[in-house]
Amino acid sequence: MQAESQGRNRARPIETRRDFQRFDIGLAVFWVYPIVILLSDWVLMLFAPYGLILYAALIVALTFHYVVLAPAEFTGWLLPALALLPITRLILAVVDQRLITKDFLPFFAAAPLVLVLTSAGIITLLRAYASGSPAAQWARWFAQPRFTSPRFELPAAFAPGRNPSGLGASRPIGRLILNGLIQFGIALSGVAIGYMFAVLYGALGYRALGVVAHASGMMRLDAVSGPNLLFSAGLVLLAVCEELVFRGLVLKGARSTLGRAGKVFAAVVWMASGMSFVSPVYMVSMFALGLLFSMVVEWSGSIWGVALAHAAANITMSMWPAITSGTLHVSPSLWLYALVVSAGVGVLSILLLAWRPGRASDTDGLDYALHTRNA
Amino acid sequence: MSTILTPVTQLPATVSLTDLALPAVVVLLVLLVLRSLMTGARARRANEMLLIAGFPLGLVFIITVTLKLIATLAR
Repeated sequence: MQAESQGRNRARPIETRRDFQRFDIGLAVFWVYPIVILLSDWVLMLFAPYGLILYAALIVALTFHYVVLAPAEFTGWLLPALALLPITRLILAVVDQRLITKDFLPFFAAAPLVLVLTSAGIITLLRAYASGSPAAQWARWFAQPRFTSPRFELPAAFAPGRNPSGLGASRPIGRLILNGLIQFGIALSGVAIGYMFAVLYGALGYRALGVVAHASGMMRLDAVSGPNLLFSAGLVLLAVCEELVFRGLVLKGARSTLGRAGKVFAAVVWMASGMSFVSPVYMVSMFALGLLFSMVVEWSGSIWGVALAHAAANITMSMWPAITSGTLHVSPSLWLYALVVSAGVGVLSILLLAWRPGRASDTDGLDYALHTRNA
Repeated sequence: MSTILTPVTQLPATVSLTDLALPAVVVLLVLLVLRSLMTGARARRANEMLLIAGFPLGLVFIITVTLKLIATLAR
């Protein structure tokens, strides 16, 4: 009888946290991953190329955990989501190894941008394949034997924020306006957050930012030239992308796998991967902000509020030193250029994420992922 | 056209594995080998990892190799 019961359990899909605990080698092992991410960043900062070996080892470990060690029925996306973080580091290293040297470490902040743009491409290809429209026939190479069953859960989970119910679009118009106002209020709070951080780091003389201070031109909007311009142009988009990854993919994955501890886990991952090697003050503030953002996302049901708040905080924090020291000399034409570039890339990304041709329209982000898991 | 190619021609002309981040190559190989060994649900998950990790990494790798080859030829 007991054997039969165990057999039934083995055949049952893994859906709940309790089931997962029963089958996996332990939830504790998940907490090791953010620590390894943090260690890898430290190693990379101190001994540049060797950190890459740790990143590669981390990806391999996550792959083995997800593919080989996890129970056959497990379909959670937390492990692949965690693998995305070291992957972006490797991508930067492949593009140019100079990007991972000490002077360019702030480029790590661009990792979510790389991530979401490539992911948007993948999602677009998959949806084009699913639509079966003549214009998308070229995408059918995914149907080759190696890709017989393209899975939508994981890529689609990148865009939880565009979920209509999450934005209130599927509700009566009154609720839509109310939700929009709530999200707008959350977004405005970003100015206060940016001000607080600017004052905090200002009081610390920016020593707290360590490496970032070394390349402070990248963090200050008064120094607009070359890479600084590109960095400034991406500030808003970067924040949205970062929220899509951390408050979208990682948080939802952590919640489904770790339960209530998922919020803390997502904050720890954000802290570990957000240039947290610079100082303990930065680490603590990142963790606190990550936790706050996670709670707001769960309360408000959408990531757009915190995404825009994040963007507002970035802009306020970057401009504050220049404003207070009166050195803000920026050519209007450069700002126009920056605006057009960031708006163009942003619109392209969002269009790619929002495009749902044909019968793929039911693959609505996380809703689809959660429903198909129970099917 | 020459303006567009200027940043490309500034890249190192040699195409070596060291330049192109050996760890990335190792990760791609591991993903491919694992995918070929797995069956059933594990194969599907290996596919996902290949798509999520291998696709962006491989794409960037191919683009970088192409640009470096162009840089070599442009000299």
